[in-house]
Amino acid sequence: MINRLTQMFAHFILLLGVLLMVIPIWLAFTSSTHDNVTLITEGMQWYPGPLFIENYDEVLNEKGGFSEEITATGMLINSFIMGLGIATLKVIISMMAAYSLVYFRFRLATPIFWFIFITLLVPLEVRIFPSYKIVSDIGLTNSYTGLVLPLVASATAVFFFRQFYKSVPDELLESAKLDGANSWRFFIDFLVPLSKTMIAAMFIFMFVFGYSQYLWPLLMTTDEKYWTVVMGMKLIYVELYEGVSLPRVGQRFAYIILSIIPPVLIVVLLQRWFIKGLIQTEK
Amino acid sequence: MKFIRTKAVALFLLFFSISPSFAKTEIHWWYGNSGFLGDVIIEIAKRFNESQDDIVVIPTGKGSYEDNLSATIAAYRAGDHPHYTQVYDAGAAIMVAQVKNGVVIGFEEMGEKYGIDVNADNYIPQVKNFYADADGKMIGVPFNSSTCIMYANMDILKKVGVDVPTTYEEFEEIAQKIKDAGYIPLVQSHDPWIWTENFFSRHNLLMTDGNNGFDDVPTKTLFSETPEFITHWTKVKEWHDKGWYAYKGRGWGDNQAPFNAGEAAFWFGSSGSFGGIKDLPINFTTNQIPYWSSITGGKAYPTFIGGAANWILNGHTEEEYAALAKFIKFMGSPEMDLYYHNTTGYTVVTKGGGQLAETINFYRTSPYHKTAPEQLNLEGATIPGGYRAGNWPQIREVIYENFPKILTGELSVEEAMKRTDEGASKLLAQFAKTL
Amino acid sequence: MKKVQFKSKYTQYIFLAPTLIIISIFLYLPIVQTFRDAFTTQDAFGFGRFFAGWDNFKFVLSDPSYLVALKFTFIYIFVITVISCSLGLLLAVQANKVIHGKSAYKTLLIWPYAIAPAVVGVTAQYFFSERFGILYALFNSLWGFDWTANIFDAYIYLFIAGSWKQISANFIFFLAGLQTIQKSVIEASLIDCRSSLRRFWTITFPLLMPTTFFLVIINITYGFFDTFGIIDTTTIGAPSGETKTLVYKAYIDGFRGLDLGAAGAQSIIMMLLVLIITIIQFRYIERRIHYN
Repeated sequence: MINRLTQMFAHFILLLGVLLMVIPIWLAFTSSTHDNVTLITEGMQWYPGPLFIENYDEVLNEKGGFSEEITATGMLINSFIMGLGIATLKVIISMMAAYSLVYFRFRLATPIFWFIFITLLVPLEVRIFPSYKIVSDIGLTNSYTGLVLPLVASATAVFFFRQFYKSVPDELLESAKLDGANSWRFFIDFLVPLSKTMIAAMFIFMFVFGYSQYLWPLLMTTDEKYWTVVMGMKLIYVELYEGVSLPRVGQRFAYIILSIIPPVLIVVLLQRWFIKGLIQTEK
Repeated sequence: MKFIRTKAVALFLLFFSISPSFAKTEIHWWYGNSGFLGDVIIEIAKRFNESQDDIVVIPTGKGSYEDNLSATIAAYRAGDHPHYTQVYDAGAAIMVAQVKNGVVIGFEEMGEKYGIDVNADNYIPQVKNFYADADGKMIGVPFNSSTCIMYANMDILKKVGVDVPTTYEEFEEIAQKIKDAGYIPLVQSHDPWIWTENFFSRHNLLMTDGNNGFDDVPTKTLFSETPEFITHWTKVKEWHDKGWYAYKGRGWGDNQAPFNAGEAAFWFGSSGSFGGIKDLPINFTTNQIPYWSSITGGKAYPTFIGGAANWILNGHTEEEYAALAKFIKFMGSPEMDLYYHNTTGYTVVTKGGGQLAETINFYRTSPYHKTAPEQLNLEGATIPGGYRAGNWPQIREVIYENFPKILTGELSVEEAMKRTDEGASKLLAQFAKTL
Repeated sequence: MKKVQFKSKYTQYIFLAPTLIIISIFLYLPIVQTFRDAFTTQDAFGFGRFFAGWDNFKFVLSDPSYLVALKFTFIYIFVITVISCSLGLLLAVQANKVIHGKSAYKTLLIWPYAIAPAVVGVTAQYFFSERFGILYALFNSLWGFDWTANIFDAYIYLFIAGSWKQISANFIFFLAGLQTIQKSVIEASLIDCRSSLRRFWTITFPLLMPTTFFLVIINITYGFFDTFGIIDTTTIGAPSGETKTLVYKAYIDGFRGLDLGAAGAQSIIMMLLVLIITIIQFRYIERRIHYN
C-alpha cells in the first residue's frame, strides 16, 4: 500500500517535471504552425495550426542574406559541423593529453598539468577580442577551422579523461606490458576500447557545447556561408528589439524548433551511453 | 601571400580554408540596420552591382548600430576590416578622431587622392557639419540621416476630438482626454537620443562643455546643471505616473509596438522609421517633435541629424578605393538619394537630391517626408547642432542605467542627473586621455 | 599516480603536443594580450596607447554599476544553483524509484539539456514579451508583472530562463549518481530504516554528496559564463543595468563600449574569482581521488 502511494507520488512529480520541460517547447512548436496575424493578435497558440508545412518549408528553404544563398538548412549544417568538429577534436586530443599525464613518468608532468589546468579560468567570452585577433592573424576568419579551434582550447575534457584513467586498475597496464605492448599499442588496443562509454559521454557533452556557441560565430563570420543556426538567434533578437512592423513570428518559432532538433536528437539517441559514461567519471 | 599562409595553416590544422578569388573588384560594406532598412541597403548594393560589370559591393549586416561599430573595430584591430562601414551618430567622434591615426580616410581626402570628383559641398549643411572635423573638412560620407519626429495616430485624435500638439504644454492639455478614451497618449523609443541629446538642441541648450565638444574636448555633460532639463524629466515622471506616457523598457521596437498596434496616440521615433510602418493599417501623420514653449519663449529650434554615415577605412588597395569612390558617387546621385528618402523616410542628404525632389514635386505627393527636413532646417539656433563627444556609446549606457530609475521613483530627477553626469565625466576623461 | 608507468624520452610529448599547441596559441596568447590591455590606456582602435598602471582597475572598481553587476552575478548563480539542483535532485530520485515508464521519463527530462542558452533566451523573450507572452500575461494579471520597470520582475524572468534547461543537466548527473549507489546498500538500508524520506536523508543523500558538490561547481560555472547567451537575448540588463552579469558587463564595456583597458581589468578580476572557484573544485576532485 505504502509502496503504491510512493509510486503514485513519484509519477505525479515526474509528470509535473515533464510538463515543465515540454510545455515551453510545445507552445513554440504549436505557435510555429500558425499565421502571423493570429499570433500577433491572439498571442501564442496551444494547438497546432494549419501552416506546418508552409512555415517550415519557408524557413528551411528561403534564401536569405545578400548572397541569397544562405538558408536555415545551410546554417543547420554549419552548426552541425561546428559541434562535430569541436567534439571530435576535443575528445581525441584530450584523451591523448590525459593519457600522457597519467601513464607516463616525466618530470614536467605536474607543471604541464597546471599549464593546462589554468585555462579553465578564461572562457572565450572573456578573451574574445585578443582571440579574434589571433585567429585573424593566422588567416582563419571565415573558415570552419577558425570556428572550431579556439573552442577546442579548453581543459575540461582533459580532466574528465584524466580522472577516468586514474580509476583504471593498474593490472591492465601490467598485463599489457606482459603481452609486450608499447605505449602506442596500449593506448589504442587497450585504453581506447575501455573508454568507449566515456568517449561517448564526452562527445555528447562537447557536441552540445560546440553547437551552442553564440558569440564566437557572431564575431568570426563575416561570410554568410559560415553562419550558424544559433548565431541566428541574435538576428531574431535584434529584429524583436529594434522592432519591425510585421514580425514573422510563426517562422521565427519554426526556426527555433529546427535549431534545437540536432543536439536534442544526439542527446536522446545516445542517452544510455551518456549516463553510463557519467557514472564512470563518478568513480 | 595571405592565401598561401592561410592554406598552409589550414592544412596543418586538419580543416580547409579556401579564400575565394574573384575577377571583379570586391568592396565590402558593413552595416548596422536590420529588418526593412537592412533590405533597402541590400537593394542599393544590388542596383549598383547591376549598373556596371567591374565592381561587386558586398553588404554584410552585423546586427544593430552598436554591433556594427564593435565588429568594425574588432575587425580593424585584427586587420580584417571592410572598406566601408556604417557608423551611427554616437560613434561619430570616435571615427573622426581616427583620421590622424590613419584608420579612417576622410571623405574629402578620398576625393582628392583618387582623382574622383567627390564634392563635399554637394551635401546639405546640417549633415555635412555633423560628420566633419574641427576644420569643417568632411570625414564621414553622409548616408542615412534622420532626426526624431512625432508620429500621430489620426484615428485616435479624431475620435477624442483633439489636434496634434506642437508644444508639450499643448500635449499636457489633451493627454488626459486621450487616456480617458482608453489609449496610451505617448510612447517614445530612445531616452538618450530623443529625450536627452535632441532635447538640448530642440531648446537651444548646450549639452556638454567645450561648446558641445566642437570648440574643446568636452569634460562633462551638463544634465544636472540645466534646470530646463530637470524640469522636463520631472514632467516626464509626472506623465508616467498619470498614465500619459508609457515606458516599455529600452527596446526600440517594444516602445513602438503600441503605436503600430493602434493603441498609442503619439510615438516619438526616427524619421527613418517611416518606411517600416507606412503600410500598416493605421492612419498616421508625421509631425515635428514638441518643445516647451515656456523654455524657448514660443520659438522652435532645430533638432540635429541622427542616423548614421558611412566611413572609409584605410588599408586596402588603390584599385579598391577607386572602385569604392565609384560606389560612393553612385549612392550620392540625386536619383539614389531620392530613392532612399522615398523608401525609408531618411532625409535627402545631397543638394542634388533636394533639387530633384523639388523638380518632380515630390513633397506634394509625399507630404510626410517633409517633416524631418523642415525641422532640421529651422533657424535661429545659437548652439552647434549635435555634439562631438567620445565614448558616447558608453555614456548612453550610463543614461540607460539611471534615467529609467526616475520613472520607477528609485531616484529623484536631480540624483539621476547627478549620477549620469558623474559617470559621463569619467568616460569623457578616459577618452580625452587617448587623444 | 599510477604505480606502473611508461618511461620515454619524448613519446609523452607527442601525446601532449596537440593540446599544448592549441592552448598556447588560442589561450595563452590572448591571456597575455588581456594583461597588456589591462595595464594600458588606449582608444578603441588601439591608438594613443600608454602604460596606465592600476588606473583601469581603479576605474572599474569605483564604477557603481560594476558592484551592481557583481551583486547580481552572485544572486543569479545562487538562485540558479538552488532551483536547478533541488528540482533536478527531486526528479532524479523519483525517476530512480518508479518501476514503470522509467526510460520514457528519462528521455522526456533529459532533452532540454541540449538546447543552447541563446535559443532558450530568444524563446523566453517571446514568453515574456508584452505582445505575445503567455508568462507575461499570467504574471501581469497576478501581480502587475513588468520586467522593464521592476527589478524583482526582471530577476524572476532571468531566474526562470536561466534555471530551466539547467534542471535537465542536474537531473542527468543526479540520476547517474544514484545509479552508482550499489543495490546492496539500498537493500540493507531498507531493513534498517522504513521511512523512505528518512532513508533518503540518512543513507542516499550522503552518498550523493560527491555528485552534489560536483554539480554545484558545474552550476556556478554555468551561471557565471554560459548565461551570457541568455542575458544577451533577454533583458540585456533591464530595467536599468541591474541584470548584467560580470561576463556580460565585461562584454558590454569592452566590446560595445570599446574600452579594452577597462574590459581587460574586468577580465583579470574575473579570472581571480574563477581561480578561487576552481581551486575549490580542484581540491575537491583531488580529495575524491584519494577516496578511491
